[in-house]
Amino acid sequence: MTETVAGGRAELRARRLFAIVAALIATILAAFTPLTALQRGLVVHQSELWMLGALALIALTGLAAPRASARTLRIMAGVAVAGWVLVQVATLWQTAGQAVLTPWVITASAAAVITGLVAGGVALAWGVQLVASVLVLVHRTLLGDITFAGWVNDTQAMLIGIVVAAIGAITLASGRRLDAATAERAAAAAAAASARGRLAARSRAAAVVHDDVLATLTLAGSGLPIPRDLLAAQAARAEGSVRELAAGTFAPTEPFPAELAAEVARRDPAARIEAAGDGAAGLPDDVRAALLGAALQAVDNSIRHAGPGTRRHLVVVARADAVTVTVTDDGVGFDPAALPADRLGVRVSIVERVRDAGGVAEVDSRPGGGTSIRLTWTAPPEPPKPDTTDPRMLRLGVAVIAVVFTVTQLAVAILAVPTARFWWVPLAVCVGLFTATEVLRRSPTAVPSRGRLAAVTGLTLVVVAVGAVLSPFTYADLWFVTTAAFVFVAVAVRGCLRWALAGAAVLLVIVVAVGVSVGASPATVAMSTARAVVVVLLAVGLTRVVAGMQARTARLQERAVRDEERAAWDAAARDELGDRAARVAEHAGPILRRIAAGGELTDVDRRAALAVQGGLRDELRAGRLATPAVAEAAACARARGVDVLLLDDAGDRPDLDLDGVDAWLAALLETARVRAVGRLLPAGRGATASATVDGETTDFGG
Amino acid sequence: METTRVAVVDDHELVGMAVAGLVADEPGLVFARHAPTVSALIGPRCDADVVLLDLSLRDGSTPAANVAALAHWGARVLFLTSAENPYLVREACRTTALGIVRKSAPREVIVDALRAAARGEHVPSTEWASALDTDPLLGAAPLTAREREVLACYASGMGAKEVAAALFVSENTVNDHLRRIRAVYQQLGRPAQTKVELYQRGIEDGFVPAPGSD
Repeated sequence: MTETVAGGRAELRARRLFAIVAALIATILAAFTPLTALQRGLVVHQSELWMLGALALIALTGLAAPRASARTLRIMAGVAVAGWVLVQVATLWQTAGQAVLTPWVITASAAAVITGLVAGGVALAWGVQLVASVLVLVHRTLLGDITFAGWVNDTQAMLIGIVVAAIGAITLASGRRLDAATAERAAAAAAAASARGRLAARSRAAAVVHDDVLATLTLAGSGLPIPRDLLAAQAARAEGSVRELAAGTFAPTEPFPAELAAEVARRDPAARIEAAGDGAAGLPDDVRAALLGAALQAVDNSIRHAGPGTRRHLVVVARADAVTVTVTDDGVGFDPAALPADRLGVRVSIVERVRDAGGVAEVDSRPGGGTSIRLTWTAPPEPPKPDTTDPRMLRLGVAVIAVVFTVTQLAVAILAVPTARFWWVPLAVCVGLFTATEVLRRSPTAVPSRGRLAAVTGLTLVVVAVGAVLSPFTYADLWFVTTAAFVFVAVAVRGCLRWALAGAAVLLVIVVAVGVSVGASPATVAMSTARAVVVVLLAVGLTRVVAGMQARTARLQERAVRDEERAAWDAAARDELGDRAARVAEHAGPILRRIAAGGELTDVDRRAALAVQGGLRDELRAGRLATPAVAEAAACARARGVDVLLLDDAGDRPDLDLDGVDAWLAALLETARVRAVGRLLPAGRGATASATVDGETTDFGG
Repeated sequence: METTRVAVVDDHELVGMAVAGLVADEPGLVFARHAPTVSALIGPRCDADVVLLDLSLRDGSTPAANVAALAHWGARVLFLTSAENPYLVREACRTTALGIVRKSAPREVIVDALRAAARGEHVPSTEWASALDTDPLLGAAPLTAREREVLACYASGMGAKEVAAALFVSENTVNDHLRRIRAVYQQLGRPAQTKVELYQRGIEDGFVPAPGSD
């Protein structure tokens, strides 16, 4: 039963989402290719056509993702990634002999990295990024295209790829954890529901057996003057309910409002009744019983105390997560404050009973003003969702990003020294931003405290502001703007989306302000800030969509768990009822039918009724004493008119040795004339069993 | 001799008829009436001295609430049972009801119980003693060794006379012990709110076989 719910639903949803994101990025990249071609005067390189083909494969995967199975999706993504890498290598081959610049589109690896994530998880994603970075490096080497600006561009493109892969890794891992947790919960819920279902069925079956069958047989065997036709009707009813039970047509549970309405109508046929909803599914048995009992007590109280001619009104509304019952009358009313402490009807049977079950009972009444009793029960809030962020994955992701980030950005900072206005500025900026990331990384909790977030954000912004003022205003020399944006990406990944957005916004304002004050061209300002803004938005958007997706998945799985629970309940209840009823029908059916026929009962019939009745009682209490030999002897004794009582009180007594008990007890039962009690004794009593036959007690064993 | 009015609360009207037939021949006992629920029985004026109360009524009421309501009304209560579910029996033993009588008990046993209850006496039975003797809660109860011995003997099916003979004490002493056991037991906690809870507790304590184990 685990598979039906588990099936890796959360993980699959995460993969689908990433396939779609990759498709979107691929589409945007593809849209830029004609633009660059246009800039060159409509010259399209063959390599660019191939690249368009590779991007089309990625887009296609995303298009198919919403409907694809996990397997299909992985295969499609795998093919797309393989195509992308092949095109990269082929491009390298082709451009090696040409004196063209590196096509920028091959440096944009994010779509391929995400597709790699979909195909083979985080390892493949990082693998794709590594291949992409190496290929770009080779490109630039072959073309002699190694520039500071190029280095800035490539390392930051690589960082984006890695960040996306890290977010993906965290999402997939938490999806897997959510799936596992759901499967576990579903199994536990199903087992619990199955146990409760059996329990309810058992008590219901037992109620039918006790109330109808045993009562009928006892009365038939008693020889008391009871009208034959009434007894026959009672026997027919009992036989019918057992047969219904055995056939499985006995409804395990009736919707709560219907049951309450029927009971109230039975007590007061004139009552006005409004019943709505079938919230029986979510209503625990004890709450159901408490609400039913309390509401009926309220009606009984009204019938008893409200005076003649009182009109009563019942409103019951049962939803899956809340039940409201209102019993109102226009009778004499009473003063709730002056209620004598011993008016048990209201205090114990209504208020305390509902309160103990987790509900609320409100009594509103005043002398001469009628009475209104309102019972409400609200399902307890769902248990807190399991923390779906895997701290290990989070740490690993942050660590990888931190390493790549540190190495590449340190290199960029060193490369920036020759063009810097003051040689120490790039290095100081680098140290400042590293400090900010380190402060964030050392947060003891997955979601950092406010103080820590403020420190990280403040430090980053100050470093950027000082750096921007002291550096030449060019795309390459403002490399640290994008570097700083990655600090906010890390903040976003940690779930602090508002801090990330606010930080990025202030960052943008600072750079634009500095740009305007030094008179930089709008194009330079845009180039220097575009990547920073895009990368933060991408991280925030992804984190947010992923969180929303997880919440929705969790809700869907919650429903799946409930369905599972309900199915298990029904199945268990049916099984249990069927078993019990079949046994009762087999034992008691013949004699019940004889009584139901309505003829005069002979002494033999009476004895048979008592024997069957005793046998049914033994099913409940005789336990291990009810061996075939003892059952036979007990039935004979009962047929002779002996009152036989068999009790298994041994529980889980460790030294229980039943060898010979049944022969001993059977022999004693044969001698009984009036009354016989056989009992397996509890632990610590020495003897194993005792038998009291017509006042003589003997022990066995020990 | 005063007459004792006997009322019956049971889902089945036939049980009422049977009791009516039973007491018809007994001097000093008269049948008052039958009702399907305690609420239906209780009127403005108390018109019964002893109420035979079914232990498992279908109206969702609990034994404790029923006994409390009847006691407040002014009647003494004897429980009637169809079978000996020890959990329901224990629940009944925690109330102020005077005893528990099996519906299938011989008629003289039922009549004797009614007479004893009319006098306000405790009506011990084997089922009562067995349910208490095996209650894990009783282990911690302040009972003397002799009281535990009396309870064990009673649970094995002996009557007061046999217990007295077996333990070399007077029958009165046995009855004193039984009264104290009853009083101590009534103080024990853990009253169940619902029947479902009773069954669940039965499973916890291993008395009722756990679902799926059979």
